[in-house]
Amino acid sequence: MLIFGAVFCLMSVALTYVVSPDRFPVKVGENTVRLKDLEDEERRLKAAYAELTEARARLLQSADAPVLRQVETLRSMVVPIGSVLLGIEDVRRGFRIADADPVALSTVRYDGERRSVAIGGDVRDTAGRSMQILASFVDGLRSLPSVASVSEPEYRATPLTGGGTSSPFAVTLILR
Amino acid sequence: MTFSPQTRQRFGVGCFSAGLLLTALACGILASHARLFSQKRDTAVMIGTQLPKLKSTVSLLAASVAAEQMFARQALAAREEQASVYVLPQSSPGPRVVKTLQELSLALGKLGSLRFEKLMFDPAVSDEGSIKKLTGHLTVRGSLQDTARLLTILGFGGDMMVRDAITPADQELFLRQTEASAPLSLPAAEDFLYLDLIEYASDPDAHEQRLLADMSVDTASALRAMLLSAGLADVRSAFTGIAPSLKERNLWPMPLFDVRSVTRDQDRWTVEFVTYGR
Repeated sequence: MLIFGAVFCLMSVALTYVVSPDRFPVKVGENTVRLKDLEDEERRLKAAYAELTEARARLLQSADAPVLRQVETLRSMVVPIGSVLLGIEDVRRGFRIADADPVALSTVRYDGERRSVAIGGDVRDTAGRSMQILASFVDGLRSLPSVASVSEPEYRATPLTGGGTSSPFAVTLILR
Repeated sequence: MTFSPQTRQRFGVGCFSAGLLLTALACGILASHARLFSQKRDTAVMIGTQLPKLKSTVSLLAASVAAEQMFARQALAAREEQASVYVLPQSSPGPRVVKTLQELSLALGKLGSLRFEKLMFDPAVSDEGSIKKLTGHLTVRGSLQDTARLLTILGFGGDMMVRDAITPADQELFLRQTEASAPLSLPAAEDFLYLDLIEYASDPDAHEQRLLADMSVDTASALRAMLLSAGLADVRSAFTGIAPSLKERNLWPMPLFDVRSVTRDQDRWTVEFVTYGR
């Protein structure tokens, strides 16, 4: 038993050196690779990443462009109000059918400090569905990417002399 | 030398116990080795799945650093000078704003219904450290569409290159998508971002075609759609029919134009803005 145990133990130790996992390929996805190769590749890529990050940091520090840096800082504070208004106009025009242009905007007020756009106008519909169109218009404004929230207007339908209804509205859009 | 029966018995038991211990030790070594195999396999799978992303990141970073080095060598000084003279000038930004605004209102008047009415600057210039702020009031008459277009163009004030019109996150996404679907076009994609903005706006189709020429139809369509949704659609729609005259009269870049308020009264629009100097 002693001889068996000693030989078994010696062979186990020898096996751990001879049969190392690094020598055997592993299937990763559709490829068969050796672990050592993978680890070497990972080390090489991480070293390259560190070197490139350092090179970029050196570039940024040495770049003598103080005015460009000031411009970048100031530019980040500019609100693209033109794009916001174009977005509102696109939503408004989306309700046109043939000659009918049910949503009319009469007032627009942008406040840069509050980042808000207050719009007011009137929705008219000969079929009497002006409130539905208004609700859809407000939903359309909410879907604009630069808009964080839209206040809910007061909904009322005033009969028009020639038939149909009118829904005046005032909403405030808060920008992102 | 003879041993007593008791000694022989104890020796035998001792050898048997030692043999058992060594066998148990050997089993422990083999079990641990088997666990090691399993762990190494899991490590290999983990590294193997993360490697492609790491390769892509390193590739993108290498292209970015190469482009930035090229820019630093060839164009940075020129852009810094351009910014110093036109975007954030040491003299008052007012005159350049006036010239560009008049050119824009003439062009938009021909293309639509916009009419320039009045432009005034506050006499006082406020100092904020190294930056001087000049407040102005602009009055125009026109439709919401035309006025919004004017404000969109003015919102690009200070932008000199294509990359200035796209957020850093969208630039990163564009480059990542290019690296994934057309890696050989990555340097061209970097160059595209450093292209002069008014040069691009004067003929956007030609510049985009140059970038996308070597790509498959599907890749080119996807990248073009990405660029348009990232902000170049606004550049195109704002500057169409206007960029060539701005370029010809050397009216771009213009100073930064920060709109503080807009008020509409029927077809009259009053815009309060701030522009900057040093």
